[in-house]
Amino acid sequence: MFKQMLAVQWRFSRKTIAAVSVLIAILPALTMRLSAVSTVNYTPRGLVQQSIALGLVLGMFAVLTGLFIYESTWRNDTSGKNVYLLSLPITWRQFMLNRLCGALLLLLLPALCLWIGGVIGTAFVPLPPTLHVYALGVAFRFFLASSLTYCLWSALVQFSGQKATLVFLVVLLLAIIVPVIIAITGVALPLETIFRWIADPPSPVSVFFSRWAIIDV
Amino acid sequence: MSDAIHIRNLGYRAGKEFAIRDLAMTVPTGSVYGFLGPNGSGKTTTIRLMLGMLPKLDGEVTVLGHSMPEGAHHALAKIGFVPERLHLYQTLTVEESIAYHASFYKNWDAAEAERLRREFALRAENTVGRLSKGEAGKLMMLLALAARPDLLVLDEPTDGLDPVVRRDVLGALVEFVERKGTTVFISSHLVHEQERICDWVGVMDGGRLVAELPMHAFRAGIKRLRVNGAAPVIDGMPFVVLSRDLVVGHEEQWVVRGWQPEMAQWFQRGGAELRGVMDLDLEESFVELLRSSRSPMPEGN
Repeated sequence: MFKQMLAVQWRFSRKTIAAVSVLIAILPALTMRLSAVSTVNYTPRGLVQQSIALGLVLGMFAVLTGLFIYESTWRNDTSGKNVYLLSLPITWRQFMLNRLCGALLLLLLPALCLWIGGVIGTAFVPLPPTLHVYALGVAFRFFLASSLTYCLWSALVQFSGQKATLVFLVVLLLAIIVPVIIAITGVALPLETIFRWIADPPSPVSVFFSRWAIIDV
Repeated sequence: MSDAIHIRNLGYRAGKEFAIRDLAMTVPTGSVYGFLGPNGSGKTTTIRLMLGMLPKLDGEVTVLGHSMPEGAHHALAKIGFVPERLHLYQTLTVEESIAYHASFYKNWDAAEAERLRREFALRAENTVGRLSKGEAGKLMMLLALAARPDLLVLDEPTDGLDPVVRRDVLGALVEFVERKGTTVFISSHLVHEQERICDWVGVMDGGRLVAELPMHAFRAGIKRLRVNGAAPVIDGMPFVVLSRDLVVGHEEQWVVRGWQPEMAQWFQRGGAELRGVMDLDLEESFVELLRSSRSPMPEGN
């Protein structure tokens, strides 16, 4: 059953996966090549900055890949109001779990391509002794970020209208009402501490905020 | 053996407009149950509630011994379902759809699936989204039958199909039922189609089940009578008057349910004359039943 579900997921999302995989495999090599020909950036500092900039692009790609994989797979069910899914002899939980496992396997592919692309791309750049290549680490981050996006988006989309409204109201409360109250009352909230709590390890969300540099010190 | 489907006091509400209230239904094991009703009467909603696809408000639903929706995945393993509209993944080919569907069923009969695919002339490499309505109907029927189900639930399986395809689909269904003795629950508004294959009939209207009885009783029990000189209000009638229309002079046309030939004497005792008893076909019976359920005759008539 899982094999068939995976085959169907692959069928639905193969074009997206192929496009993303090729693109992120080429990106590091392309960026490093541009660095190598540029005299301005071909310094240790320049290389790291270039690498961090590339990391931002990769991070965005990771988020978009997670979203695309979800949408390309589930769109086929939601367009039919989930009638097919619900008529199959499998619990919703089992189905979701199978879909998640399938998605994680599929998300490994672009991460693998990123790793290979990173290794090959940096191989042509003669690195100063203070710098190192972190292609595997970035590829792993890409996998974690895209997987986490898939999971978060799944959870959000599976919410009922009521729950989605509740989440929206909470976000609205945090984004608008709290700053207004702070402005009126003058209470100093440790906003930076709260942000660090969300963005720093061991929070899973930290994967989006950490450095994604393929070349770093 | 217990009933294949057993529903008691089923309640459901969809917005302010539509509700199913206190629905009770029994589908005997081995029967071919025709579920009749006009469009929008609640047939598809009832089926979805029955299969655990919608959360019921209250009541009990038991399908093949499994309480729904809790035991839905156990029950669905023994159910072949053909929904009202094509529900399969549009981008898969016929072959991929069959392989995908098969992976969920332990009793899947691959040889039967291949036989039906050839019989229905479905090309394995065609994508589902490009199938004609007839081909899509055949594919859904194939998937339902090849799972070798104990219960077939068919929601308007032939709606919109041309007569040739309809004959193919119903032919495969009848052959399967004869071979396996499967219980069939078939919803439709095509009354004459049900008449040919069903041995039980349930009639749904406005979210209520207005009648449930064996087909022979349904066919035999509803008659059109020509009555002359009947009093406007009569008490103690041994049958149910569904409608009563003046034809000419004192002659009236009655449509009655629960008619037996010996009841003719009742008219003589009441001073009226029974001039004729006519059979109604299933469609006329169905229409009269709906008419009477929507505007019931006052008491004593």
